[in-house]
Amino acid sequence: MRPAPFSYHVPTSEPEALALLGELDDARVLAGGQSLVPLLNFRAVRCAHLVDLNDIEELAGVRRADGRLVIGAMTRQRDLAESQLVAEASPITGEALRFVGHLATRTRGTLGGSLCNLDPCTELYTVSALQDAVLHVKGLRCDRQIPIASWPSGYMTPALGTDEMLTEISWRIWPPGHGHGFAEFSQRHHDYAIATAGALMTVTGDGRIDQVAAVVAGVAAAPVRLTAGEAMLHGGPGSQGLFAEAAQTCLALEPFSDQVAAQHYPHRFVSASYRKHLSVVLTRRALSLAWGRATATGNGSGHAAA
Amino acid sequence: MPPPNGHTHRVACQVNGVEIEREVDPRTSLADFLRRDLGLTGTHIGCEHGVCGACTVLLDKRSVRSCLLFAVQVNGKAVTTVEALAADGKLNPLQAAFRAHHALQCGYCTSGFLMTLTDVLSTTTTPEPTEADLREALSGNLCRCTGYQNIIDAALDAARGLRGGGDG
Repeated sequence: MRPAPFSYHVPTSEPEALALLGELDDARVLAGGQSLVPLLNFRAVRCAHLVDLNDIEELAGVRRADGRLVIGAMTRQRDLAESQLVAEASPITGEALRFVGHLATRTRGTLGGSLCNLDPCTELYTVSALQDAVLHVKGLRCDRQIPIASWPSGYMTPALGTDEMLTEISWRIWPPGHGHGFAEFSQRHHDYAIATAGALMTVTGDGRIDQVAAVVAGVAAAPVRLTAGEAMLHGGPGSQGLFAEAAQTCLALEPFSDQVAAQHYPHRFVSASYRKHLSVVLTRRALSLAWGRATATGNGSGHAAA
Repeated sequence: MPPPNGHTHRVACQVNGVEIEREVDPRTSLADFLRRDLGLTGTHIGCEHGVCGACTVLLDKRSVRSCLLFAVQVNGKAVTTVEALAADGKLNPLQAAFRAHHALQCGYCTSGFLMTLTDVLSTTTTPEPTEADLREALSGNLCRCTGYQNIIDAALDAARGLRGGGDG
């Protein structure tokens, strides 16, 4: 199968790319291509113009600024996984990236591309949501900063205009010694995920959960911060019972419709109740892992979970 | 074959150390470019959506899916295919390990495995890979014939040898 014909454009600067997106009708952006090119090959997606961002060096790179990690949208997943800065400032990222595609797809796939593709279980979205991500979007007539909670406008649809592009993403850097946990379930190892959960946590010297973030993916159309669960955890001594109680808040999430589920899982039946069940289990595991790391000797208080 | 809208693009790149320059339809995948335009049929096409790994080649020394790249995208870059592995008709240590361990049957997936392993085993940041490490690294390459055990044995053998002798 081959894509339907398109005109190919390869800008070498951000202004050039924005100008193209502003003037071309029916144009799509090509980032890593690991999701888009299969869709083009199957002709599930057609476009008159393809604007290839891979030659714009300024769109890739990781730096620290004002207590945040600032990551260019075209930064390769593989480069995130191999970055010393990311490993130190955001250890959950390397953990999550183990579940993202394969080595060869991570060589090309990008953070920005994953966030714009917006599969309901996008691991990098979960990681971004845990770290209070802000997405920088530019167009010829706009320059806006979008908090990640406002990013999805529907199933696999980001709040991105046709003449706009995502240029960079910033993440809050958690304190050194914070705990992280990531858990994923798929039908076969390395398949697209059915559900995932992530957690970040700091623990005080007397064994109480101080800062906590928990995100679950696979129930709703995009990963969701479990704010009710986080409130339950804050200030508490960590225990399997507490994590299980917080994880139960997943049951209140609004699942995407059966119609969307039929489209998203075309060859099998994956019910909302099953996804909710998985989300409860995975959230409990992620919280437990984060607690274990936060309280490991040398971090926090060293208390074990009751 | 000229593209329907008539617009070709020039691609100038290095393939297995040789400078190449061609005009291509932008829709031409790197896999098809290598096979049809350059006659390098060692790279195989399995699924055309990046899952099976048969089409894996190296782009600037890192493994990529050639079915998910357009030929125009390698302009100015260096591509390495399976044809580059043997020098003067002599199998390189990785290929020799595959032969010794009967790590192929029909051979369709083999070039993809070899290119992935060439990437993985040339990484200097990891210590000697374990079987679990290699199974994880090769999880993006599918084989219908062998059941993988001999591939893993060959890879472990090559890893030991290559660790001793510098980057592969």
